[in-house]
Amino acid sequence: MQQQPQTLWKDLKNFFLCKYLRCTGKLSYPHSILPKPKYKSIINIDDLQSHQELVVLRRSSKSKEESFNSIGNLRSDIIDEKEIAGLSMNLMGTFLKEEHIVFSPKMRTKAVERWPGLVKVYLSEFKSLYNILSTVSPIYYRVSDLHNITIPYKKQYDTEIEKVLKKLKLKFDTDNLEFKANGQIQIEHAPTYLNYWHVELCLLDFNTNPVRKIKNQFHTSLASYVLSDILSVNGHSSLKEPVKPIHSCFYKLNNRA
Amino acid sequence: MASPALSNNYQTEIVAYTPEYTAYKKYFEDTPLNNNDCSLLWAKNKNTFLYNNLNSNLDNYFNISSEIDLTNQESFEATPLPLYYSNNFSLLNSAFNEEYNKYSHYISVSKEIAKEKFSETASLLSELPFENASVELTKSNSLKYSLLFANDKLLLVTKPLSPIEELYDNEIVFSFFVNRELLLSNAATTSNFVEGFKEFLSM
Repeated sequence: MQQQPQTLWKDLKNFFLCKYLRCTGKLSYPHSILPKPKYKSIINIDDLQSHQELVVLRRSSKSKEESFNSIGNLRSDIIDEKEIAGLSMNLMGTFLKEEHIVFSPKMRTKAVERWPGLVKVYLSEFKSLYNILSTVSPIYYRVSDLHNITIPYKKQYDTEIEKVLKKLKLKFDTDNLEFKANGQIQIEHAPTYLNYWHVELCLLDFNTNPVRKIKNQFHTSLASYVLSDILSVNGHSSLKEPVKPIHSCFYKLNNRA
Repeated sequence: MASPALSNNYQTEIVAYTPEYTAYKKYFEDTPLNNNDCSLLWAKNKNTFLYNNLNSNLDNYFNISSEIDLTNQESFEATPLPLYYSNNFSLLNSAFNEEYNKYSHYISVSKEIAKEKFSETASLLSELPFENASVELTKSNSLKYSLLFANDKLLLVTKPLSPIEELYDNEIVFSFFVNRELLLSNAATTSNFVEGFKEFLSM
């Protein structure tokens, strides 16, 4: 396809400007994680997950020692309760690497706006829209530990749970106000201008409506305790095995496996 | 030194302190006692008050033991504390102290109240046969206990430090994971939960 002269000019300008900025140390943001016009506007996480084990990466702004407790769980102060709905993470398996977590796009700027698809991103326009953090540590999650997980205040009975409940002498009362919400957690692809591999932790209420504020919509602090527990127990400081590469057919347009 | 709340009239009616001692501490201070109030579990080893060795802050209260008539103890059903109880409580206590020194700014209650709430729950959780544990103060003004058991069983217990609408004062929120998979989560009365969980673990 032939490029329009105007687009070509913009491409060239961006190319040389980025070269110059990188040479002068004014730009270090990784070009590899930007959205490309040939990419799908949204990756279907369900499809992808049914094909392979996925890993997402989150940044802790504290050191590893301060981020994990003595039994290896993520400390609850690392992820604020208010952040849980829409929690930002990054999908691994392609171009996003652990070393990229030092780059933090500035909030309330175009850098963190949703990429609409098909649009080319000129990195030189974003040169001042990110920070480089000095102290960070990685938190890894297996997507299967977070995706399509029911918030268990209306968890379906099975023999194992029945057994536990019986022994605990607890009645799992779904009419109990404290556990009335039938929520679910999902991982959704949410590419931004500066990071195509950005995903979010979405909470859905019993009507599958997105939950923006846990306390407002679930009407309970208990839900946030449970979500915090799930994030704490499933967060890992390192990977036991390398992340399986994601085939390009899952993120490139018109690309078949 | 005896607690001023424990008048001589009641001393002979109290048979022993128990792991639930701290839960009753405030009550002892504020309210005259009777037999029903003291229908507590107590250790078979009546001469050993474990807390004496575990928490010097409670020494004053356990000095009371010298004034208590222990002669009627046999009439009460005894529930022995497990051998690991002392170690478990020490582990939790150290973890709490270390956490408090680092993160006391997260919570909005005084050290005394935090300690009291910690002891209330920790004294019961120490009856569980965990292999490792941690205690955290959270930004939502609560205590979070993480207890690791054999076979990758993990129990997380959250205890708010100040009243919240959804929980009674004697309740906790727990999440139970096996192989890191959430099996069950709910709110429960601490003592009932601990009893049931002990039974579950012994299955």
